Amino acid sequence: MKDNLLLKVSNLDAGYGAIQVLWDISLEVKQKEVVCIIGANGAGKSTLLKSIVGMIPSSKGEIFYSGNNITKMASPERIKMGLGFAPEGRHLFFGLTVEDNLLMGAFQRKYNKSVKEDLDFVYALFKPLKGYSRKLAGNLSGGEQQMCAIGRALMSRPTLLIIDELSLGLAPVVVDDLIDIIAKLRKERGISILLVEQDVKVALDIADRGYVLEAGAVSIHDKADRLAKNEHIKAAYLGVA
Amino acid sequence: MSLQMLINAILLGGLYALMGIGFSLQWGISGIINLSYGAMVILGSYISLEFFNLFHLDPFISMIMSGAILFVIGAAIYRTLLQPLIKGGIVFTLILTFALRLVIENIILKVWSADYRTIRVTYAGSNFQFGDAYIPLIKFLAFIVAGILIYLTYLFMMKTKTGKGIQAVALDKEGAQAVGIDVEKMYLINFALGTALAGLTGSLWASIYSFSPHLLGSIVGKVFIIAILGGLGNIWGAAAGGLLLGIAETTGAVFFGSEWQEALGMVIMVSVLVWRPYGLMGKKFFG
Repeated sequence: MKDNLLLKVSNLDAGYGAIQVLWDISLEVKQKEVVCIIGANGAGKSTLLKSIVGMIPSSKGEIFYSGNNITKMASPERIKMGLGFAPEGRHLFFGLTVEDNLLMGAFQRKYNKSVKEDLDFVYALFKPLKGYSRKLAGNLSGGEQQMCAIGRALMSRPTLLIIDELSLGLAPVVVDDLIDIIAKLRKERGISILLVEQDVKVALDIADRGYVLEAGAVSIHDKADRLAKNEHIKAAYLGVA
Repeated sequence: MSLQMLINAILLGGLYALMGIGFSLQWGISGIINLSYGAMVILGSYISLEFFNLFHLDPFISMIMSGAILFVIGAAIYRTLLQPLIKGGIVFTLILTFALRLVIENIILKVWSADYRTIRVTYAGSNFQFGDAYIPLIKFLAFIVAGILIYLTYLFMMKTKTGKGIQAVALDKEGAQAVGIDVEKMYLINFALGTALAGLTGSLWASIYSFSPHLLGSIVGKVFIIAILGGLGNIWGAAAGGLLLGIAETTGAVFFGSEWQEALGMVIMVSVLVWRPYGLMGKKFFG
């Protein structure tokens, strides 16, 4: 295995009980790389991310993270190893304050100086959150909730940040901010990013490489700029013939 | 209503409040309607009885042991019996806790018989005057201790990392999984905390009243009322529900006769279910 490989999924099958959703998926994320997964609704994008994080068990295949086989690991252990997950729909704890939401992201760490530093880092990254730190997370706007969800995922000090639906339901201005922040995270912290994104233009714009999921299987994978020129993708996802 | 009656009602309500919180947390957060809760309360009473008979230990001290033993029992029951069944839905755990109740009840009958038992501490007869009412010292102490325990439970849930983790799991299970909180472990701690509160109540109860396995059924009835009055999983709601039930039972007994005492609680519960199904103080979670 090449030593700059961070995540390697090989021949993965997974699903919900008897219903298989993912078929023979193979995927790689290298260090400091931004990788996107695109595909239609129901293609299995969220299922793939959840099985990487360990929230859904896989029935076949293997997942390696930093060279360790994590296929059989429970999800808290995987998070501890350096996976950070911002799920679809954000799943914030609406009844807790913004700060407590962020601290829950560091649940498996000891609350010490380094957690405090990371908290300051998240507040510096997402400035609106700082002002709302004592407010309940349920009071946040959609964009702020997404910031809180990504900030919460960062609080576990991940080396791979996994984001399910970055731009869904957000204003274009907010999406631009988030795109800048992703670039910054990669550049300044060396964090790799794996994201599912319904806006294919946005996805191919920020990612180095992309995987196209169709009916639970990878149909195409290539460099993002080459995918943007692919006739099939243009027709099916970018709305240009 | 006389001052004496109100004081009696509040002193009784304090114990109900403590008793109801454990049941409410188990139901509201771990999703388990624990029909063996009454058996666990009474078990706490018998633990204090044994410590009193063997070492002459005051129930206010042996309650620490009751709480600790019941915590361990609760954790063991959750891990070995409830956790594997919880996926099957609420009916499975309902049946299991009902079976547990029968088992614990029969163990108690076997070990201690069905006779009513009492723990008589030396200060059992002392009381002090407040206005024109008399307050029994031991009931007053039990009330204060119950209040402290309720507040400690609140602090645990609101201020500690584990407590917030339990809240997080209750608020959004998938969000909790996403940040790497061990969901099953939070359910386990919460359930064991509930049984510990049952045991603590049992010890306090034993310092004041006589007890026997016959009480077990009516305790489950009472905690149902308290949890529903307050809103499931809501600590202050359950505390208020407990006080309200204490007042309802005491006044009910005076105005309608003691045979109506328990029925009144049920009438209040049904009224709440009809008009405010999320409890008097309960509110739907934010969002």
